[in-house]
Amino acid sequence: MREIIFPGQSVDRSASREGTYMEKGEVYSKVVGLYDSSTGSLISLEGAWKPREGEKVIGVVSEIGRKDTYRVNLSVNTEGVIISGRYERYRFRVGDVVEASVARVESGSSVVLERPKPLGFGVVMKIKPTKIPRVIGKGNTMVDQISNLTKCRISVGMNGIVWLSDGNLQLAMAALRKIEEEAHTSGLTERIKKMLSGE
Amino acid sequence: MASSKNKPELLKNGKRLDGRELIQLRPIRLEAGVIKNADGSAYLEWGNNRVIAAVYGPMEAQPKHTSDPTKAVIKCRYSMAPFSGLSDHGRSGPNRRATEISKVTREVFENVVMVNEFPGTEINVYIEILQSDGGTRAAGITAASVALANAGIPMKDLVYAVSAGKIGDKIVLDLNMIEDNYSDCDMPMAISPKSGDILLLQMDGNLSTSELRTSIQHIIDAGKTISAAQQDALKRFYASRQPEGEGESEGKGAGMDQEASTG
Amino acid sequence: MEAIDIVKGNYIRDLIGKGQRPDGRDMLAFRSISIKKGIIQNAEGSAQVDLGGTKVLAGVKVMVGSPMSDTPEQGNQIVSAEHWPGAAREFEPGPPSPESIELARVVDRGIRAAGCINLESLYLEEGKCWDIYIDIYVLNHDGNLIDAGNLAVMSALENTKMPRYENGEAVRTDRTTPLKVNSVVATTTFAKIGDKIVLDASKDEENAMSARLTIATDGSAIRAMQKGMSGSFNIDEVEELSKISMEKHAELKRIMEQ
Repeated sequence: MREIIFPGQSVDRSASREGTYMEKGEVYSKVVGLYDSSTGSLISLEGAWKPREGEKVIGVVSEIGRKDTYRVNLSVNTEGVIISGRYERYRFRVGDVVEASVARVESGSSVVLERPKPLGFGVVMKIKPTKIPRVIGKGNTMVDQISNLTKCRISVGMNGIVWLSDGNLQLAMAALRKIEEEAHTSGLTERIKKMLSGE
Repeated sequence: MASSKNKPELLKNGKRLDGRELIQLRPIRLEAGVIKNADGSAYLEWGNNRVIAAVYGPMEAQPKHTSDPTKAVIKCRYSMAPFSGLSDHGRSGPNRRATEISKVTREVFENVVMVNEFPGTEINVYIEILQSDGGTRAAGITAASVALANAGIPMKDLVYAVSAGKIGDKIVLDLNMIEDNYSDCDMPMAISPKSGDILLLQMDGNLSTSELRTSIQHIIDAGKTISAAQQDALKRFYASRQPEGEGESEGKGAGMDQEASTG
Repeated sequence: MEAIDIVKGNYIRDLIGKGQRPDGRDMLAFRSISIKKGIIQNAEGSAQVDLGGTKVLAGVKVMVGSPMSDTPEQGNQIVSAEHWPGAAREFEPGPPSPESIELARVVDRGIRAAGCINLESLYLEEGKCWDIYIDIYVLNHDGNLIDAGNLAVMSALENTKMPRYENGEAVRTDRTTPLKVNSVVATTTFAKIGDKIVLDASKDEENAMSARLTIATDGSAIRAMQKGMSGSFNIDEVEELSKISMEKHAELKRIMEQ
């Protein structure tokens, strides 16, 4: 049975490490989350993005540094750096949308990016990072479905930025907003399918 | 506390001017997520107080020299709108009183927010008193706590605040403006309900040590009601985001968000 | 402006160039408007306006003041605006920004020029008059703060009850007489995006605009105008927009009177 829990609320000792803290041998939630006492799973309903190595992210080039390094806006608290030399294939300009993966998490609010790829003309959308797994869906089912039904090209960054191009952009963006709003509910894939097929 | 000659009679037949019992809170209505731009927000109607709180962050600390490489810096701004009081138009922006309240409020949240998780960043907490009727710092903390939770900021606990005081020799809970002005003691407090830890404590007036203990006990007892209102606001925020037909009925919320009347 | 806004701006310019808006609205349509009057009982008048995602509160305080030396038999109307830092990430605490001062002054100008409040009627006695303090509080910024601010101020004035004047002081326990409001001023703010013009731009659209034009009317005449930003309008555009502004006055007046 899933229920909404709050910071300071006691949870089972088997509860997931994510979203909890331990004090005097007891485990408590530190977020507003959905907690399933039978499995110990705790999903935070809100929260900032915390970068992890290997994660795919999307950002916008904000500054061209010396020696062809690039600064990339990833979120309000994290900046990515592309160190060129290893990636001469691309020259970026300020305002370019870039897809890359996190190579290394530096101290503070900066990450080093690798395998950058320009995404070209399109639109970007900010989605709450905690809702991104729902946007992607199990085995990419959700994002593939949106892509198929709207004919949009879509790339999803774990940092909460989604890039879209071609196809019915407005419909695809409306679907993404709906997923963000209703991420904590069940039967979402079906509802999105209905919405996109105009049923 | 103004010890005025034309001090009004604050208690009549053991009841307060607004009809409350000695130990009784004013009605509390809370709503989460009212400011779309903010990472988290809350709107609170507490008696005649009207308070709005918004949280932004964690985000890159600006200017750079205010950042701490080991933890997130909390910045707090409590302020009163110039039309919030019953008397004349106030000055805009924080005055000395507001600056002090901002400081003690910040210290409350420095206790519960897990600042070590976001080094080099800042978390901004904005509290605006749109209408004041006594106990606004407590209302501000109670609302800001919900806004922080709504922003997904990891915290040890959902803090609440309320004041206790004394009228004559009677201990009272949750003083309104006129009681605050003419009572014999006013003591706002912020509490971490999980532990009972006192995170804010201010007082002026006169109080015996036994009255102090009684007052704190009343504040802790009142916490059940205030915490429930905070949790309920957060629950309703997510319930209202259920797909059609599956959401819980609304209507208990405060009146900040409304249906559009025209299109 | 964040780097991401550049990307959004390019997309919006492209879309609007094709005659479409991101939210599917007509080029000259307002977003949904809702008005709630009297929500701050401590103030003599108040109103909250939601214009799409923009949320603005206006409060009116009436107090005893002194006439200005150049208008010794008039009261005063003082409009201020607060870009509350909780309303947008880019709003910063501190002294009023040029943008918030412009917002207050543009709203003030329309209401003053149309004579919404008869300042002579605010004169009380030698050296005493009513001062009408009007504060615009931006609570959530999603574009077009001027029109939202004007709607909130007009609605708050309509909601204002005057204190009683007694022995040189304002008695607020007895607020029954409504403030006399002589006319309804409505502002319409247009944004130029590429070579197209839209009404009531959202924040994303504002990030893509090159110029902005606000026209305040009272239904019979143009009462105030303000052009903003570095772009431009030509004579035909200004004439056309002034006609639209007169038409929109009726629509906005109806919403305010509901």
